[in-house]
Amino acid sequence: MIIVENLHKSFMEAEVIKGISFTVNDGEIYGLLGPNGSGKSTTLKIVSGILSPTSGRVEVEGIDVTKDPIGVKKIVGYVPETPVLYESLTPNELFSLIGSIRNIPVDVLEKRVNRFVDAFGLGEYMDQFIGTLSFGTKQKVSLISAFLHDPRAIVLDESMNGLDPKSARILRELLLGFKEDGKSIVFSTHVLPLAEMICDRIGLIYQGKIIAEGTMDELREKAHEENLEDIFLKLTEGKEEMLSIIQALREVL
Amino acid sequence: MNIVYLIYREVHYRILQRNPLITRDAKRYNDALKNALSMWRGLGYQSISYIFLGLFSAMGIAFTTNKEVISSMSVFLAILPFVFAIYITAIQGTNVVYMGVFEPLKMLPVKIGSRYLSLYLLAEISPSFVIVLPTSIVIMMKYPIEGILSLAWFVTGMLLGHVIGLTILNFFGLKIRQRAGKKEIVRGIFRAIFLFLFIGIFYAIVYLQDYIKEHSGEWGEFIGKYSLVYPFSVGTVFTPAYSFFLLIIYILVLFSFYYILLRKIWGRIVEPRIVAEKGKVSKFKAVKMGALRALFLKDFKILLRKTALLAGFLVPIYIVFPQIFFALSNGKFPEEQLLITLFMLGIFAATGTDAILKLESMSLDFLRTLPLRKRDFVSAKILSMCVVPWALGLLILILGIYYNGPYALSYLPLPILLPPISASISMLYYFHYKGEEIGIPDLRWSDFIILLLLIGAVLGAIGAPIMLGYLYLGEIVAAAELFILILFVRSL
Repeated sequence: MIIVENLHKSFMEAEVIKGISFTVNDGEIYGLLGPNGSGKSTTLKIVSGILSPTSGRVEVEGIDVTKDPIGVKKIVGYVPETPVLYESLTPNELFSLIGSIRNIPVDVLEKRVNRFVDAFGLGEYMDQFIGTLSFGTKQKVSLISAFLHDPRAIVLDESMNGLDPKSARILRELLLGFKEDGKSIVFSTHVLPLAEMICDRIGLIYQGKIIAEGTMDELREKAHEENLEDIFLKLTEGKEEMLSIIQALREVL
Repeated sequence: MNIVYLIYREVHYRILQRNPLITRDAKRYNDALKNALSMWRGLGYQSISYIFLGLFSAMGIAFTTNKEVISSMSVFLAILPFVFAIYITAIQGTNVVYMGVFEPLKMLPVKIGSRYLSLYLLAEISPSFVIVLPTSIVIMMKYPIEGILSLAWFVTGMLLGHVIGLTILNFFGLKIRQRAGKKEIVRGIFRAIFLFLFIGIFYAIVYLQDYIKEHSGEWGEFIGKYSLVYPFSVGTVFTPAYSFFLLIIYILVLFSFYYILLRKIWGRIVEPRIVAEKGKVSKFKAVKMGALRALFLKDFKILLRKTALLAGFLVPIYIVFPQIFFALSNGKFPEEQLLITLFMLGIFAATGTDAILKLESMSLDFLRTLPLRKRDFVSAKILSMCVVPWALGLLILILGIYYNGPYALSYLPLPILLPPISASISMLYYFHYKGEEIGIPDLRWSDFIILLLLIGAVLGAIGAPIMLGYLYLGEIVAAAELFILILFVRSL
């Protein structure tokens, strides 16, 4: 279970998270949606123990991220929006490094890596330096890196970026499988139909605050709109602004 | 110039963001941000921190009229901007390219974008000029022409260091091999050896010059009278005509190389040379090892693959090469010399800090996602920092044994214990902050000076009993100090 309570985060004088609260239950997929710069990535980094909150309480499976960030990292699998990996290592070497740091038994590590590698079709790239791989392939390496220790909570920050349709589908099914296993999953995405398809609940984040939260039905009712894109634009007051922006662009191009 | 300014801002802003010592403190952060965002301000502050060293050096020259003393002091001083230029160009150059700072430029119609990289690096190098400027001014006041010549030589030395750094960057920093394999480690070791030999080429030329002097009669005498090689060539300023002629040759050769290198480097930035190799699809095989060993091996592999980063270990290498040169040319290597070299190597092991941390570069965010304790990260870095000084120390010890007999083996604990002592002090200095966050501190040369003083004091406690004739007591003190430092590191 992930509990975020009255979370605030400031970078020097700028407050980017202004009192966010949400809970992700065991066996639940929670979608965090919002425009660019709304605070999604910062929130997800705090949940993963990478950043510390300025104030508020964040707990993952009962472990407080402020008191024990290393404990949180042990049980969380985090995938950043842009794969950040050691470019001069190969996937083989990277997975070995992760196995050593996370203390995963060799036989378990080998079994998991080989399964994931087969699933994502990474076999031929295992001895290539990560720096020479395409963005999508790096993203696959990044995803596998996050799942190797069988995390109890999964945090994905726009992790579908760059994946080919087959891999995106595998990831989607994998997430649904993790949900069945009782894992807590929180993820951000700009692919709204995907969120609509797999999320049990959705939180709309705007300017550092959650402005709406609930199941798809609850959000529809609140916004009086049918699909998530319209709900999103309406609640973030983006629809009229968007129309005027398009008009202005047409005038100059 | 605007682009150079932009690159400076971008690089320093990113470095700042990775420094937990500063990002945790709003006031320090704001001050550092002002320096990071203004090139003139940042370079100005850095120059001020060097001015004292420059004035101190100039004072030595101000009180002497002996031309030989002035020449030899100038030669010694000339090493500083030269090594500084190689170091900054090779290390910061690799780092900047790897950071992706040039990605936006690739999309613009720019013919040779690496000139911006070069100008940016020259700007970073420029504060080191403050170290030699007062000396040139003092010489100029006494001997105007010689003073101007010394200034020209110092500038040329900086450019020479920059061109050597660009060569290292071109050959070792920008090539991308596609596939790793068993041969690849051997290749990496050869690249590292080649890099060290490349750096030592100057000493080889001096050796060659001595050889010619001894074996080529009158012509040899002419060559042997004046050293052709920088920094020894700075000593020619009191023979102005010859010095000027040599300087012109240097400048002509340097600029030709410079122009060729800039074209090559930009070509490689725009289109990295990827060496494709065929490989078979292999099953993943894990090797069981602890986090510390895994991190150390990771550093070792990256260092061998990004050979240009090895230039970060230039200072200990520059200390060792003259000693080897001295031993080879004189046929003797006195024990006092051996001891001094081992201690110098120990002290300057700390200069690898910058390179070993820059190696993390953009991948720091990845490490932060792992349950890695700061103390494990720091311990692995200490081990990695010691590899080059350990190897060089053992090489020096073997030379010592060759020239002095098996007794020199009793010094063995020193090349083993001294590098981790100074590496530990360095790491404790930078990572003493609270919390588990792993960051990359901004390593300034003023910090290095403080660090060297600290390390000097700690190693002094080892050296004192040895100087009094109690070698084994000194070695016991070294072991005790290392033990205490390990305890400190493990409590981080």
